Amino acid sequence: MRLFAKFFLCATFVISISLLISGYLLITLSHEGAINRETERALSQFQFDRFAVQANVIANAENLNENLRLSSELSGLTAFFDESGLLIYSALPPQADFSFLGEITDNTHVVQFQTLSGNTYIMVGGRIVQGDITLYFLTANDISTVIAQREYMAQSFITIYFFTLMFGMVITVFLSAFTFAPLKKMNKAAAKMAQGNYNERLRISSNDEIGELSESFNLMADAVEDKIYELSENARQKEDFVANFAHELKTPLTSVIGYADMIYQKPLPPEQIKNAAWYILNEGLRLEALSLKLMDLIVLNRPDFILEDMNADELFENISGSLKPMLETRDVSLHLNIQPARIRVEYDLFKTLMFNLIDNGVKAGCKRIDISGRQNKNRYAISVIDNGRGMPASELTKITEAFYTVDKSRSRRQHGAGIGLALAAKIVEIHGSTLSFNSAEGIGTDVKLDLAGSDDDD
Amino acid sequence: MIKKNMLTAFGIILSFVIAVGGWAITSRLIDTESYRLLSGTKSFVAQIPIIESANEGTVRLGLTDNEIVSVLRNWNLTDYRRPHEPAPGQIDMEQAIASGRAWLDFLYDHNILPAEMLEFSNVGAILSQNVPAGEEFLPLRYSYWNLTFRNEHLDILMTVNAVTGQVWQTEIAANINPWYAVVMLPPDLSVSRNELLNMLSAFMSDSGIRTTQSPVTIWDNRELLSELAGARRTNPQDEAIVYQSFADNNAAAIVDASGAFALAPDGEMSFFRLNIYLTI
Repeated sequence: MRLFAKFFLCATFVISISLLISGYLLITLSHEGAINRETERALSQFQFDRFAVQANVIANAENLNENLRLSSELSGLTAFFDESGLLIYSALPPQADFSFLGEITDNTHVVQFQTLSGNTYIMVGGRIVQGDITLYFLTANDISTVIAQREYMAQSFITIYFFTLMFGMVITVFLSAFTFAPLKKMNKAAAKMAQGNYNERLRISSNDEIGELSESFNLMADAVEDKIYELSENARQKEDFVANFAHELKTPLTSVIGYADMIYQKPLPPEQIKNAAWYILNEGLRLEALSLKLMDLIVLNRPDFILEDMNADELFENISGSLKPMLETRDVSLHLNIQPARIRVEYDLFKTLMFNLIDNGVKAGCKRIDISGRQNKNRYAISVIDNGRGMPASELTKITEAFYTVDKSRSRRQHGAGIGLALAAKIVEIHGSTLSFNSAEGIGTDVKLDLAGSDDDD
Repeated sequence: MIKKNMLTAFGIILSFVIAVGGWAITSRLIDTESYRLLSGTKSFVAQIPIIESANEGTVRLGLTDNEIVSVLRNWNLTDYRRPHEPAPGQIDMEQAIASGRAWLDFLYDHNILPAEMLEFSNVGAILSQNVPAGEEFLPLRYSYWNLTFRNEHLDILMTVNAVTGQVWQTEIAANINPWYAVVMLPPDLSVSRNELLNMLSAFMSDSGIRTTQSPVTIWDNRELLSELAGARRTNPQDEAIVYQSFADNNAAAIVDASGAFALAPDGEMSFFRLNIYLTI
């Protein structure tokens, strides 16, 4: 059932029940009060009439029946019965029922309502005992106006009831349209989002639950849009990763297969065989480097690395020592300017990070690499600066993507697959930081990161 | 979708059913309640005043001065008159009427009116108390019989204490035609000071009132009499109101004859009024 119908049903129910209960109570209580008042009035008037009749009996005992008839004409609708219940005189309509007079006892008056000839009467009966004379005396007062008043109230109530109900229904329709309009807008917005329009937002600014729902909807839409973008990015990166991986795999394999086939197909001179073998070896080494780095990348996705406190200067001295043979071979000088401090690192990963950054600089053709480390409040800032060929600024946002290389041909010659900086970025992320690059073509590259200081530092 | 629309239509139809059905049920309930109110027979016990002590149940001869003052104060509250049946210890209607008739003899004995004018066939009597509806009746002594004696000449109203049977208030208004007055009334009928004092003394004696206060006489309102053109009193020197205080001056017995017999010479209807009463 639509919400409007539920709202309409509830409103109608509430209005109906309220009006009906109110009307019922009003009419019945009013009518009961009027009946009680008429009863009291009739009883009081009966008492007065009873005294008058009794005085008449005392004053005129000889011509009692005639005098009773005369007094009855003066008092209105009355009836008299003798001790045995025989009617002496009655001014009441002939269809009046006098049987209730049998319930009269001394000191009690009996009241009954009767409808005679279309009018409603309140009949009061009592007994008069004066000396030897006993009479039953009955009066009848017309209370048709009270009955008519009740019927008038009932008729009026019906009219008021239905008019009020109709009015209430109309108000309910407009109120529901006004109340549910924001919900319809939300419904449309949700439908648009379901169709892929994730930047759909609601512009409802009321200060009530609808406004709060609208705000929550917008927050949800923001989160959904961000998540969709993130998922899209991840999917795109995965797709690129696979595509690049396939390409990187295909390229050396093509060379290996080609040269191997050449050797297999026909006898070659030793010089050519050696040349082919060199290509096969070279590409094989590249594939090996690629597979090792891919394995590292996969391992870095595990969440169970534990950081330990270490002395920065000792750590970098250790790294410098490990790289010394490679750097001497390339005629690259490494300069350290490390402020002593305790830093939190995972030793092997951090060493791999530094290897990759320095290796990148060497591959970029630098002759000097400066590594500095400075304490900066509770962080330790590290900078790796080389004077290699540098990179265009437009490339800097992509260089940490897996398989991305600025110069593909140079990378292949150097057995590179474009995974080194992706690894470095992952390692820095594990250490709770990010890499920032600053590079200029022909001048060099500056790579910065900061690490958490040790908890034991002063 | 079709199911949803059907349910919606059902809900709207149900709303109208509730509206109309509810009215029909309520109308039926109202009629049922009205029928209940108007059906059957109800008995009401005639209410009687409070009997204060065990020895009440017989007519008392008199009340104390304080009781008289208290009763008279209540009798002034004429807005709350409620009739009731006599209780044990109160006089019944026959006794009340007899008491009133005996008091009429007082008028004859004091030469106020002739015996022929004191024959009454139209007699009324109502026993009441001045207490608001819904409240309990007061003790027996607060009840009073209002007696009316009417004939073609006189309208006499008496207020009789229901416990003592004494007539505490009397208003006599006469509508005497001039012919009757000239022919039937004694020519020297007058209301002299002495006569008033005698009436006052007899009235107080009948009411069981004793006092050390002296009676007081005051002039009547001669301006009222002078409004009647050519009116004359039988004895213009007579004073018209006498009263005597009692109950430490909180009450008084009064005989007021200031409207006593005046006859216009051109035959206009004359007016006779005499009030004898206890008051506070």
